[in-house]
Amino acid sequence: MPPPALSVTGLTKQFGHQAAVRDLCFDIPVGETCGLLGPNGSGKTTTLGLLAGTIRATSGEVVRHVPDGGRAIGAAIGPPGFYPYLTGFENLSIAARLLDGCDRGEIERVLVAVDLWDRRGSRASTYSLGMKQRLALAAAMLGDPKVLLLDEPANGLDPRGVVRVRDLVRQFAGQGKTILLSSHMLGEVEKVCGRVLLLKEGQIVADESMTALRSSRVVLTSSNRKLPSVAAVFPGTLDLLERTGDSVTVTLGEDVSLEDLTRHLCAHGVFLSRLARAEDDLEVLFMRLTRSDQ
Amino acid sequence: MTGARFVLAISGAEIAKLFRHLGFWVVLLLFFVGEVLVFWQAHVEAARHGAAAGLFGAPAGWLIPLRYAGKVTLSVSSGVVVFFTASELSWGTAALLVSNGLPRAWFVLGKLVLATLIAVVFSLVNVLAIAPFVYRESGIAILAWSNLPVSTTVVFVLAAIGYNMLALLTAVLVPSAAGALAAWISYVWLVEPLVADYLSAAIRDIWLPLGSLNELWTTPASGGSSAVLWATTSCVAGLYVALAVVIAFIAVARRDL
Repeated sequence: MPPPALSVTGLTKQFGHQAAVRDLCFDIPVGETCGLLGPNGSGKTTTLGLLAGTIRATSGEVVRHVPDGGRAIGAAIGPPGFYPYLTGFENLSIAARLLDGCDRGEIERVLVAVDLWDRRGSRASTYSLGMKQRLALAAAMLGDPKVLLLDEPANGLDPRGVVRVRDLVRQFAGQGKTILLSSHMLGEVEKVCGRVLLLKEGQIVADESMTALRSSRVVLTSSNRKLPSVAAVFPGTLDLLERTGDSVTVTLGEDVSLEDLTRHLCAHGVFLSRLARAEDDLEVLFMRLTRSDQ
Repeated sequence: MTGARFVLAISGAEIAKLFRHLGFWVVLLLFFVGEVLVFWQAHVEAARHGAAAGLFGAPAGWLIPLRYAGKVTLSVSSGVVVFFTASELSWGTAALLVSNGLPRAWFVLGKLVLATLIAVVFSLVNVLAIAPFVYRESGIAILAWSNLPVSTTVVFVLAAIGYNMLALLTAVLVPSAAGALAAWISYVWLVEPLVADYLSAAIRDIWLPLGSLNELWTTPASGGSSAVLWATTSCVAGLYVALAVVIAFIAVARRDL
Protein backbone atom coordinates (compact mmCIF):
# COMPACT_ATOMS: atom_id res chain seq x y z
CA MET A 1 0.00 0.00 0.00
CA PRO A 2 1.38 3.46 -0.88
CA PRO A 3 2.41 5.74 1.99
CA PRO A 4 -0.18 8.23 3.21
CA ALA A 5 -0.30 11.68 1.67
CA LEU A 6 -2.62 12.89 4.43
CA SER A 7 -2.99 11.48 7.92
CA VAL A 8 -5.80 12.61 10.16
CA THR A 9 -5.82 11.72 13.86
CA GLY A 10 -8.53 12.57 16.36
CA LEU A 11 -9.66 15.61 14.40
CA THR A 12 -12.45 17.51 16.14
CA LYS A 13 -14.01 20.88 15.45
CA GLN A 14 -16.44 22.52 17.85
CA PHE A 15 -18.47 25.59 16.90
CA GLY A 16 -19.59 26.72 20.35
CA HIS A 17 -21.18 23.67 21.94
CA GLN A 18 -21.91 22.07 18.58
CA ALA A 19 -19.38 19.55 17.27
CA ALA A 20 -19.13 19.87 13.50
CA VAL A 21 -16.78 16.90 13.27
CA ARG A 22 -15.74 14.51 16.00
CA ASP A 23 -12.62 12.44 16.39
CA LEU A 24 -11.96 11.82 12.71
CA CYS A 25 -9.18 9.35 12.00
CA PHE A 26 -8.18 8.30 8.50
CA ASP A 27 -5.29 8.20 6.05
CA ILE A 28 -5.39 9.01 2.37
CA PRO A 29 -2.62 7.12 0.58
CA VAL A 30 -0.60 8.80 -2.16
CA GLY A 31 -2.38 8.59 -5.49
CA GLU A 32 -5.77 7.64 -4.08
CA THR A 33 -9.01 9.30 -5.16
CA CYS A 34 -11.27 9.29 -2.15
CA GLY A 35 -14.89 10.40 -2.00
CA LEU A 36 -16.25 12.20 1.04
CA LEU A 37 -19.98 11.67 1.33
CA GLY A 38 -22.63 12.64 3.80
CA PRO A 39 -25.94 14.43 4.12
CA ASN A 40 -26.14 18.21 4.44
CA GLY A 41 -24.55 19.36 7.68
CA SER A 42 -22.63 16.14 8.19
CA GLY A 43 -19.29 17.97 8.31
CA LYS A 44 -17.87 17.45 4.80
CA THR A 45 -16.91 21.07 4.12
CA THR A 46 -15.61 21.48 7.68
CA THR A 47 -13.44 18.39 7.22
CA LEU A 48 -12.00 19.74 3.97
CA GLY A 49 -11.48 23.17 5.58
CA LEU A 50 -9.60 21.52 8.45
CA LEU A 51 -7.41 19.63 5.99
CA ALA A 52 -6.77 22.77 3.94
CA GLY A 53 -6.03 24.92 6.99
CA THR A 54 -8.83 27.47 6.60
CA ILE A 55 -10.57 26.11 9.69
CA ARG A 56 -8.73 25.70 12.96
CA ALA A 57 -9.16 22.34 14.67
CA THR A 58 -10.37 22.25 18.25
CA SER A 59 -8.25 19.15 18.75
CA GLY A 60 -6.53 16.48 16.71
CA GLU A 61 -3.93 16.61 14.02
CA VAL A 62 -3.58 16.70 10.25
CA VAL A 63 -0.21 15.58 8.87
CA ARG A 64 0.65 16.26 5.24
CA HIS A 65 3.27 13.83 4.02
CA VAL A 66 4.04 15.79 0.92
CA PRO A 67 7.55 15.78 -0.52
CA ASP A 68 9.38 19.10 -0.63
CA GLY A 69 9.28 21.17 -3.78
CA GLY A 70 6.25 22.42 -5.62
CA ARG A 71 2.88 23.08 -4.15
CA ALA A 72 1.57 20.71 -1.51
CA ILE A 73 -2.18 21.23 -1.53
CA GLY A 74 -4.64 22.75 -3.95
CA ALA A 75 -8.15 23.29 -2.73
CA ALA A 76 -11.54 24.47 -3.91
CA ILE A 77 -13.70 24.54 -0.80
CA GLY A 78 -17.08 26.05 -0.08
CA PRO A 79 -18.64 28.82 -2.15
CA PRO A 80 -16.02 30.06 -4.63
CA GLY A 81 -14.54 33.34 -3.40
CA PHE A 82 -13.06 35.80 -5.87
CA TYR A 83 -12.44 39.52 -6.18
CA PRO A 84 -15.67 40.42 -7.98
CA TYR A 85 -14.21 43.49 -9.69
CA LEU A 86 -11.26 41.62 -11.18
CA THR A 87 -11.39 39.43 -14.26
CA GLY A 88 -10.95 35.68 -14.07
CA PHE A 89 -7.41 36.07 -15.36
CA GLU A 90 -6.58 38.83 -12.87
CA ASN A 91 -7.98 36.78 -10.00
CA LEU A 92 -5.68 33.92 -10.90
CA SER A 93 -2.80 36.37 -11.42
CA ILE A 94 -3.19 37.55 -7.83
CA ALA A 95 -3.07 33.95 -6.62
CA ALA A 96 -0.21 33.10 -8.98
CA ARG A 97 1.78 36.14 -7.84
CA LEU A 98 1.68 34.77 -4.31
CA LEU A 99 2.22 31.12 -5.16
CA ASP A 100 5.81 30.51 -6.07
CA GLY A 101 6.54 29.28 -9.56
CA CYS A 102 3.29 30.26 -11.26
CA ASP A 103 3.80 32.29 -14.39
CA ARG A 104 1.45 33.51 -17.12
CA GLY A 105 1.79 30.21 -18.95
CA GLU A 106 0.58 28.35 -15.87
CA ILE A 107 -2.49 30.59 -15.62
CA GLU A 108 -3.24 29.95 -19.29
CA ARG A 109 -2.83 26.19 -18.78
CA VAL A 110 -5.34 26.01 -15.92
CA LEU A 111 -7.84 28.36 -17.59
CA VAL A 112 -7.76 26.27 -20.75
CA ALA A 113 -8.14 23.10 -18.68
CA VAL A 114 -11.36 24.36 -17.09
CA ASP A 115 -12.59 25.85 -20.38
CA LEU A 116 -12.52 29.47 -19.19
CA TRP A 117 -9.78 30.83 -21.42
CA ASP A 118 -12.29 32.57 -23.70
CA ARG A 119 -13.90 34.31 -20.70
CA ARG A 120 -10.63 35.23 -19.02
CA GLY A 121 -11.23 38.93 -19.58
CA SER A 122 -14.68 39.03 -17.97
CA ARG A 123 -15.12 40.20 -14.41
CA ALA A 124 -15.64 37.43 -11.87
CA SER A 125 -18.89 39.13 -10.78
CA THR A 126 -20.35 38.34 -14.21
CA TYR A 127 -19.54 34.63 -13.98
CA SER A 128 -22.29 32.09 -13.40
CA LEU A 129 -22.01 29.74 -10.42
CA GLY A 130 -20.72 27.01 -12.71
CA MET A 131 -18.02 29.31 -14.10
CA LYS A 132 -17.01 30.34 -10.59
CA GLN A 133 -16.78 26.66 -9.68
CA ARG A 134 -14.48 26.11 -12.63
CA LEU A 135 -12.41 29.18 -11.75
CA ALA A 136 -12.01 27.83 -8.21
CA LEU A 137 -10.89 24.53 -9.71
CA ALA A 138 -8.39 26.42 -11.87
CA ALA A 139 -7.05 28.21 -8.77
CA ALA A 140 -6.68 24.84 -7.04
CA MET A 141 -4.75 23.50 -10.04
CA LEU A 142 -2.25 26.39 -10.11
CA GLY A 143 1.28 25.23 -9.43
CA ASP A 144 0.47 21.56 -9.99
CA PRO A 145 -0.24 20.54 -6.37
CA LYS A 146 0.31 16.99 -5.15
CA VAL A 147 -2.95 16.83 -3.19
CA LEU A 148 -6.32 18.20 -4.28
CA LEU A 149 -9.20 18.90 -1.92
CA LEU A 150 -12.38 19.47 -3.88
CA ASP A 151 -15.69 20.40 -2.27
CA GLU A 152 -18.67 19.70 -4.50
CA PRO A 153 -16.73 20.62 -7.66
CA ALA A 154 -19.67 19.75 -9.90
CA ASN A 155 -22.16 21.78 -7.89
CA GLY A 156 -24.14 24.13 -10.14
CA LEU A 157 -22.70 22.73 -13.35
CA ASP A 158 -24.75 21.62 -16.36
CA PRO A 159 -24.34 18.01 -17.54
CA ARG A 160 -21.53 18.99 -19.91
CA GLY A 161 -19.75 20.75 -17.04
CA VAL A 162 -20.23 17.72 -14.79
CA VAL A 163 -18.60 15.50 -17.40
CA ARG A 164 -15.75 17.99 -17.82
CA VAL A 165 -15.10 18.09 -14.08
CA ARG A 166 -15.24 14.31 -13.93
CA ASP A 167 -12.71 14.09 -16.75
CA LEU A 168 -10.47 16.59 -14.97
CA VAL A 169 -10.61 14.63 -11.73
CA ARG A 170 -9.77 11.45 -13.64
CA GLN A 171 -6.93 13.29 -15.35
CA PHE A 172 -5.56 14.39 -11.96
CA ALA A 173 -5.89 10.85 -10.66
CA GLY A 174 -4.08 9.59 -13.76
CA GLN A 175 -1.20 11.94 -12.93
CA GLY A 176 -0.84 10.22 -9.57
CA LYS A 177 -2.33 13.04 -7.52
CA THR A 178 -4.06 12.37 -4.23
CA ILE A 179 -7.64 13.60 -4.30
CA LEU A 180 -10.28 14.02 -1.62
CA LEU A 181 -13.58 14.88 -3.23
CA SER A 182 -16.80 15.70 -1.47
CA SER A 183 -20.01 15.44 -3.43
CA HIS A 184 -23.71 14.87 -3.25
CA MET A 185 -23.60 13.18 -6.63
CA LEU A 186 -23.18 9.57 -5.65
CA GLY A 187 -22.94 8.47 -9.27
CA GLU A 188 -20.05 10.86 -9.86
CA VAL A 189 -18.22 9.65 -6.76
CA GLU A 190 -18.76 6.07 -7.83
CA LYS A 191 -17.31 6.83 -11.25
CA VAL A 192 -14.10 8.52 -10.12
CA CYS A 193 -13.31 7.38 -6.58
CA GLY A 194 -11.57 4.26 -5.43
CA ARG A 195 -12.73 4.67 -1.85
CA VAL A 196 -15.47 6.44 0.05
CA LEU A 197 -15.64 7.95 3.51
CA LEU A 198 -19.19 8.45 4.69
CA LEU A 199 -19.81 11.12 7.30
CA LYS A 200 -22.85 11.38 9.50
CA GLU A 201 -23.21 13.99 12.20
CA GLY A 202 -19.51 14.70 12.07
CA GLN A 203 -18.33 11.14 12.39
CA ILE A 204 -17.12 8.58 9.89
CA VAL A 205 -19.72 5.83 9.70
CA ALA A 206 -18.24 3.98 6.73
CA ASP A 207 -14.82 3.79 5.15
CA GLU A 208 -14.88 1.36 2.26
CA SER A 209 -13.17 0.78 -1.01
CA MET A 210 -15.41 0.88 -4.06
CA THR A 211 -14.27 -2.64 -4.92
CA ALA A 212 -15.44 -3.94 -1.56
CA LEU A 213 -18.67 -2.02 -1.90
CA ARG A 214 -19.35 -3.41 -5.33
CA SER A 215 -18.57 -6.98 -4.43
CA SER A 216 -20.19 -7.21 -1.04
CA ARG A 217 -23.85 -6.58 -1.86
CA VAL A 218 -25.94 -9.14 -3.64
CA VAL A 219 -29.60 -9.40 -4.53
CA LEU A 220 -31.11 -12.84 -3.92
CA THR A 221 -34.43 -13.79 -5.48
CA SER A 222 -36.48 -16.83 -4.60
CA SER A 223 -40.16 -17.71 -4.35
CA ASN A 224 -39.41 -19.49 -1.07
CA ARG A 225 -40.67 -17.34 1.81
CA LYS A 226 -37.91 -18.64 4.05
CA LEU A 227 -35.29 -16.75 1.98
CA PRO A 228 -34.85 -13.77 4.34
CA SER A 229 -34.58 -15.84 7.50
CA VAL A 230 -32.24 -18.39 5.96
CA ALA A 231 -30.06 -15.70 4.36
CA ALA A 232 -29.92 -13.88 7.69
CA VAL A 233 -28.48 -16.88 9.53
CA PHE A 234 -25.79 -17.52 6.92
CA PRO A 235 -22.48 -16.98 8.78
CA GLY A 236 -21.09 -14.67 6.09
CA THR A 237 -24.09 -12.33 6.06
CA LEU A 238 -23.28 -9.00 7.67
CA ASP A 239 -26.53 -7.23 7.05
CA LEU A 240 -29.95 -7.76 5.55
CA LEU A 241 -30.57 -4.52 3.70
CA GLU A 242 -34.03 -4.61 2.15
CA ARG A 243 -36.79 -6.85 0.91
CA THR A 244 -38.59 -6.15 -2.33
CA GLY A 245 -41.15 -8.75 -3.37
CA ASP A 246 -39.33 -12.05 -3.64
CA SER A 247 -35.91 -10.37 -3.49
CA VAL A 248 -33.62 -9.69 -0.59
CA THR A 249 -30.46 -7.55 -0.70
CA VAL A 250 -27.73 -8.69 1.66
CA THR A 251 -24.27 -7.47 2.55
CA LEU A 252 -21.66 -10.20 2.70
CA GLY A 253 -18.35 -10.29 4.48
CA GLU A 254 -15.20 -9.67 2.43
CA ASP A 255 -14.02 -13.29 2.18
CA VAL A 256 -17.39 -14.90 1.66
CA SER A 257 -17.90 -16.72 -1.63
CA LEU A 258 -21.22 -16.80 -3.41
CA GLU A 259 -20.85 -20.57 -3.74
CA ASP A 260 -20.91 -20.94 0.05
CA LEU A 261 -24.00 -18.78 0.22
CA THR A 262 -25.92 -20.74 -2.44
CA ARG A 263 -24.85 -24.02 -0.81
CA HIS A 264 -26.18 -22.76 2.53
CA LEU A 265 -29.48 -21.70 0.98
CA CYS A 266 -29.89 -25.02 -0.88
CA ALA A 267 -29.17 -26.94 2.32
CA HIS A 268 -32.16 -25.13 3.87
CA GLY A 269 -34.41 -25.81 0.91
CA VAL A 270 -34.19 -22.33 -0.58
CA PHE A 271 -33.46 -22.35 -4.31
CA LEU A 272 -32.61 -19.09 -6.00
CA SER A 273 -34.22 -18.00 -9.25
CA ARG A 274 -31.77 -15.08 -9.52
CA LEU A 275 -28.55 -13.95 -7.91
CA ALA A 276 -27.04 -10.59 -8.88
CA ARG A 277 -24.64 -7.96 -7.65
CA ALA A 278 -26.48 -4.94 -6.27
CA GLU A 279 -26.03 -2.11 -8.77
CA ASP A 280 -26.95 0.85 -6.60
CA ASP A 281 -24.36 0.03 -3.95
CA LEU A 282 -23.27 3.50 -2.97
CA GLU A 283 -26.77 4.88 -2.87
CA VAL A 284 -27.95 1.99 -0.72
CA LEU A 285 -25.01 2.42 1.62
CA PHE A 286 -25.64 6.14 1.80
CA MET A 287 -29.34 5.77 2.51
CA ARG A 288 -28.84 3.02 5.03
CA LEU A 289 -26.07 4.65 7.01
CA THR A 290 -27.51 8.14 7.01
CA ARG A 291 -31.02 7.16 8.08
CA SER A 292 -32.11 9.49 10.86
CA ASP A 293 -33.22 6.61 13.11
CA GLN A 294 -29.69 5.21 13.30
CA MET B 1 9.80 32.12 -2.03
CA THR B 2 12.23 34.17 0.04
CA GLY B 3 10.94 36.65 2.60
CA ALA B 4 11.79 39.75 0.58
CA ARG B 5 10.30 38.37 -2.64
CA PHE B 6 7.20 37.31 -0.75
CA VAL B 7 6.72 40.81 0.69
CA LEU B 8 7.25 42.28 -2.79
CA ALA B 9 4.72 39.85 -4.23
CA ILE B 10 2.22 40.75 -1.51
CA SER B 11 2.76 44.47 -2.07
CA GLY B 12 2.30 44.06 -5.81
CA ALA B 13 -0.89 42.08 -5.29
CA GLU B 14 -2.33 44.65 -2.87
CA ILE B 15 -1.50 47.58 -5.15
CA ALA B 16 -3.00 45.78 -8.16
CA LYS B 17 -6.20 45.00 -6.24
CA LEU B 18 -6.56 48.50 -4.83
CA PHE B 19 -5.94 50.37 -8.05
CA ARG B 20 -8.26 48.10 -10.04
CA HIS B 21 -11.19 48.83 -7.73
CA LEU B 22 -13.41 51.54 -9.17
CA GLY B 23 -14.82 52.30 -5.72
CA PHE B 24 -11.38 53.34 -4.50
CA TRP B 25 -11.04 55.96 -7.25
CA VAL B 26 -14.59 57.19 -6.71
CA VAL B 27 -13.97 57.67 -2.96
CA LEU B 28 -10.63 59.35 -3.67
CA LEU B 29 -12.17 61.72 -6.23
CA LEU B 30 -15.11 62.57 -3.96
CA PHE B 31 -12.70 63.17 -1.11
CA PHE B 32 -10.56 65.48 -3.26
CA VAL B 33 -13.54 67.42 -4.64
CA GLY B 34 -15.09 67.65 -1.16
CA GLU B 35 -11.89 69.05 0.29
CA VAL B 36 -11.48 71.58 -2.51
CA LEU B 37 -15.06 72.78 -2.00
CA VAL B 38 -14.61 73.09 1.75
CA PHE B 39 -11.31 74.97 1.37
CA TRP B 40 -12.80 77.23 -1.26
CA GLN B 41 -15.70 78.07 1.07
CA ALA B 42 -13.22 78.75 3.90
CA HIS B 43 -11.14 80.89 1.58
CA VAL B 44 -14.17 82.96 0.51
CA GLU B 45 -15.31 83.40 4.10
CA ALA B 46 -11.84 84.47 5.22
CA ALA B 47 -11.54 86.97 2.36
CA ARG B 48 -14.97 88.42 3.15
CA HIS B 49 -13.95 89.04 6.74
CA GLY B 50 -10.81 90.73 5.62
CA ALA B 51 -8.27 88.23 6.87
CA ALA B 52 -4.90 89.50 5.85
CA ALA B 53 -3.73 87.91 2.64
CA GLY B 54 -6.64 85.52 2.79
CA LEU B 55 -6.78 82.36 4.79
CA PHE B 56 -3.98 80.60 3.03
CA GLY B 57 -1.57 83.41 2.56
CA ALA B 58 0.11 83.02 5.94
CA PRO B 59 3.60 81.57 5.90
CA ALA B 60 2.36 78.26 7.28
CA GLY B 61 -0.89 78.39 5.37
CA TRP B 62 -0.31 74.98 3.94
CA LEU B 63 -0.72 73.54 7.44
CA ILE B 64 -4.40 74.34 7.23
CA PRO B 65 -5.31 71.18 5.36
CA LEU B 66 -3.71 69.18 8.08
CA ARG B 67 -5.53 70.97 10.87
CA TYR B 68 -8.75 71.59 9.01
CA ALA B 69 -9.36 68.29 7.30
CA GLY B 70 -7.05 66.03 9.22
CA LYS B 71 -9.65 63.99 11.03
CA VAL B 72 -11.80 63.67 7.92
CA THR B 73 -8.78 62.48 5.97
CA LEU B 74 -7.93 59.96 8.64
CA SER B 75 -11.53 58.75 8.86
CA VAL B 76 -11.99 58.29 5.11
CA SER B 77 -8.59 56.67 4.71
CA SER B 78 -9.18 54.23 7.57
CA GLY B 79 -12.72 53.55 6.33
CA VAL B 80 -11.26 52.42 3.00
CA VAL B 81 -8.90 50.09 4.86
CA VAL B 82 -11.80 48.60 6.84
CA PHE B 83 -13.82 48.09 3.66
CA PHE B 84 -11.03 46.36 1.72
CA THR B 85 -9.91 44.19 4.62
CA ALA B 86 -13.35 43.07 5.77
CA SER B 87 -14.55 42.58 2.19
CA GLU B 88 -11.63 40.31 1.42
CA LEU B 89 -12.58 38.15 4.39
CA SER B 90 -16.27 38.05 3.46
CA TRP B 91 -15.70 37.46 -0.27
CA GLY B 92 -13.83 34.28 0.64
CA THR B 93 -10.75 35.25 -1.34
CA ALA B 94 -8.55 35.03 1.74
CA ALA B 95 -9.89 31.53 2.39
CA LEU B 96 -9.23 30.54 -1.21
CA LEU B 97 -5.62 31.68 -1.04
CA VAL B 98 -4.95 30.21 2.41
CA SER B 99 -6.49 26.88 1.40
CA ASN B 100 -4.13 26.88 -1.55
CA GLY B 101 -1.07 27.05 0.61
CA LEU B 102 -0.45 30.69 1.50
CA PRO B 103 0.51 31.27 5.12
CA ARG B 104 -2.13 33.20 7.07
CA ALA B 105 0.41 35.90 7.88
CA TRP B 106 0.15 36.84 4.20
CA PHE B 107 -3.25 38.36 4.82
CA VAL B 108 -2.18 40.74 7.59
CA LEU B 109 1.11 41.57 5.86
CA GLY B 110 -0.81 42.46 2.73
CA LYS B 111 -3.21 44.65 4.66
CA LEU B 112 -0.33 46.41 6.41
CA VAL B 113 0.95 47.33 2.96
CA LEU B 114 -2.55 48.39 1.97
CA ALA B 115 -3.01 50.48 5.12
CA THR B 116 0.30 52.26 4.55
CA LEU B 117 -0.40 52.86 0.88
CA ILE B 118 -3.84 54.29 1.54
CA ALA B 119 -2.51 56.48 4.36
CA VAL B 120 0.10 57.98 2.04
CA VAL B 121 -2.31 58.46 -0.87
CA PHE B 122 -5.03 60.16 1.18
CA SER B 123 -2.54 62.33 3.06
CA LEU B 124 -1.07 63.55 -0.22
CA VAL B 125 -4.51 64.18 -1.70
CA ASN B 126 -5.36 66.19 1.40
CA VAL B 127 -2.33 68.41 0.82
CA LEU B 128 -2.95 68.52 -2.93
CA ALA B 129 -6.48 69.78 -2.42
CA ILE B 130 -5.23 72.90 -0.68
CA ALA B 131 -2.29 73.54 -2.98
CA PRO B 132 -4.07 75.81 -5.50
CA PHE B 133 -5.34 78.15 -2.77
CA VAL B 134 -2.01 78.45 -1.02
CA TYR B 135 -0.20 79.07 -4.29
CA ARG B 136 -2.71 81.67 -5.51
CA GLU B 137 -2.53 83.77 -2.37
CA SER B 138 1.00 83.34 -1.15
CA GLY B 139 2.86 82.28 -4.23
CA ILE B 140 4.26 79.38 -2.25
CA ALA B 141 4.29 76.16 -4.16
CA ILE B 142 3.76 73.87 -1.18
CA LEU B 143 4.64 70.79 -3.14
CA ALA B 144 8.13 72.09 -3.79
CA TRP B 145 10.45 70.15 -1.54
CA SER B 146 12.00 73.26 0.02
CA ASN B 147 8.59 74.53 1.14
CA LEU B 148 7.33 71.28 2.51
CA PRO B 149 7.99 70.91 6.24
CA VAL B 150 8.87 67.28 5.99
CA SER B 151 8.64 66.47 9.67
CA THR B 152 5.01 67.57 9.97
CA THR B 153 4.03 65.75 6.82
CA VAL B 154 5.76 62.63 8.00
CA VAL B 155 4.04 62.60 11.39
CA PHE B 156 0.69 63.12 9.69
CA VAL B 157 1.34 60.17 7.40
CA LEU B 158 2.50 58.14 10.41
CA ALA B 159 -0.67 59.07 12.28
CA ALA B 160 -2.69 58.06 9.22
CA ILE B 161 -0.88 54.72 9.14
CA GLY B 162 -1.61 54.31 12.86
CA TYR B 163 -5.31 55.03 12.28
CA ASN B 164 -5.33 52.50 9.48
CA MET B 165 -3.72 49.81 11.61
CA LEU B 166 -6.44 50.26 14.25
CA ALA B 167 -8.99 50.14 11.45
CA LEU B 168 -7.37 46.95 10.16
CA LEU B 169 -7.77 45.37 13.58
CA THR B 170 -11.47 46.28 13.64
CA ALA B 171 -11.96 44.74 10.18
CA VAL B 172 -10.28 41.52 11.28
CA LEU B 173 -12.29 41.22 14.49
CA VAL B 174 -15.78 41.98 13.14
CA PRO B 175 -17.20 39.21 10.93
CA SER B 176 -18.94 41.24 8.19
CA ALA B 177 -17.80 44.17 6.03
CA ALA B 178 -20.85 46.31 6.88
CA GLY B 179 -20.50 45.47 10.58
CA ALA B 180 -16.81 46.32 10.59
CA LEU B 181 -17.42 49.65 8.85
CA ALA B 182 -20.24 50.51 11.26
CA ALA B 183 -18.11 49.53 14.25
CA TRP B 184 -15.18 51.63 13.07
CA ILE B 185 -17.24 54.72 12.25
CA SER B 186 -19.01 54.42 15.61
CA TYR B 187 -15.71 54.19 17.41
CA VAL B 188 -14.12 57.13 15.60
CA TRP B 189 -17.05 59.53 15.74
CA LEU B 190 -19.02 58.35 18.77
CA VAL B 191 -17.33 56.08 21.28
CA GLU B 192 -13.96 57.73 21.67
CA PRO B 193 -15.29 61.32 21.53
CA LEU B 194 -17.86 60.41 24.20
CA VAL B 195 -15.22 58.82 26.39
CA ALA B 196 -12.94 61.79 25.77
CA ASP B 197 -15.64 64.15 27.08
CA TYR B 198 -15.31 62.60 30.52
CA LEU B 199 -11.52 62.80 30.62
CA SER B 200 -9.15 65.66 31.15
CA ALA B 201 -7.24 66.94 28.11
CA ALA B 202 -3.98 65.56 29.47
CA ILE B 203 -5.40 62.06 29.67
CA ARG B 204 -7.47 61.97 26.49
CA ASP B 205 -4.69 63.37 24.30
CA ILE B 206 -2.20 60.82 25.48
CA TRP B 207 -4.01 57.71 26.63
CA LEU B 208 -6.87 57.25 24.17
CA PRO B 209 -5.84 55.37 21.00
CA LEU B 210 -7.13 57.88 18.45
CA GLY B 211 -6.55 60.79 20.82
CA SER B 212 -2.86 59.98 20.97
CA LEU B 213 -2.65 59.62 17.20
CA ASN B 214 -4.44 62.96 16.70
CA GLU B 215 -2.12 64.60 19.18
CA LEU B 216 0.82 63.16 17.27
CA TRP B 217 0.10 65.29 14.22
CA THR B 218 -1.83 68.25 15.62
CA THR B 219 0.94 69.22 18.02
CA PRO B 220 3.63 69.93 15.41
CA ALA B 221 1.04 71.42 13.05
CA SER B 222 -0.14 73.91 15.65
CA GLY B 223 3.27 75.04 16.70
CA GLY B 224 4.05 72.33 19.20
CA SER B 225 4.03 71.77 22.92
CA SER B 226 6.73 70.28 25.10
CA ALA B 227 9.00 67.78 23.43
CA VAL B 228 8.68 65.42 26.38
CA LEU B 229 4.90 65.41 26.15
CA TRP B 230 5.01 64.82 22.42
CA ALA B 231 7.51 61.99 22.86
CA THR B 232 5.26 60.40 25.49
CA THR B 233 2.27 60.68 23.18
CA SER B 234 4.31 59.15 20.34
CA CYS B 235 5.30 56.20 22.51
CA VAL B 236 1.72 55.58 23.62
CA ALA B 237 0.45 55.87 20.05
CA GLY B 238 3.19 53.55 18.86
CA LEU B 239 2.28 51.03 21.53
CA TYR B 240 -1.38 51.09 20.52
CA VAL B 241 -0.48 50.58 16.88
CA ALA B 242 1.98 47.78 17.63
CA LEU B 243 -0.61 46.11 19.85
CA ALA B 244 -3.24 46.42 17.10
CA VAL B 245 -0.91 44.78 14.57
CA VAL B 246 0.02 41.95 16.94
CA ILE B 247 -3.63 41.29 17.83
CA ALA B 248 -4.54 41.38 14.12
CA PHE B 249 -1.91 38.71 13.39
CA ILE B 250 -3.16 36.55 16.29
CA ALA B 251 -6.82 37.04 15.34
CA VAL B 252 -6.21 36.00 11.74
CA ALA B 253 -4.09 33.06 12.86
CA ARG B 254 -6.88 31.81 15.11
CA ARG B 255 -9.97 32.60 13.09
CA ASP B 256 -11.80 30.28 10.73
CA LEU B 257 -11.72 31.71 7.23
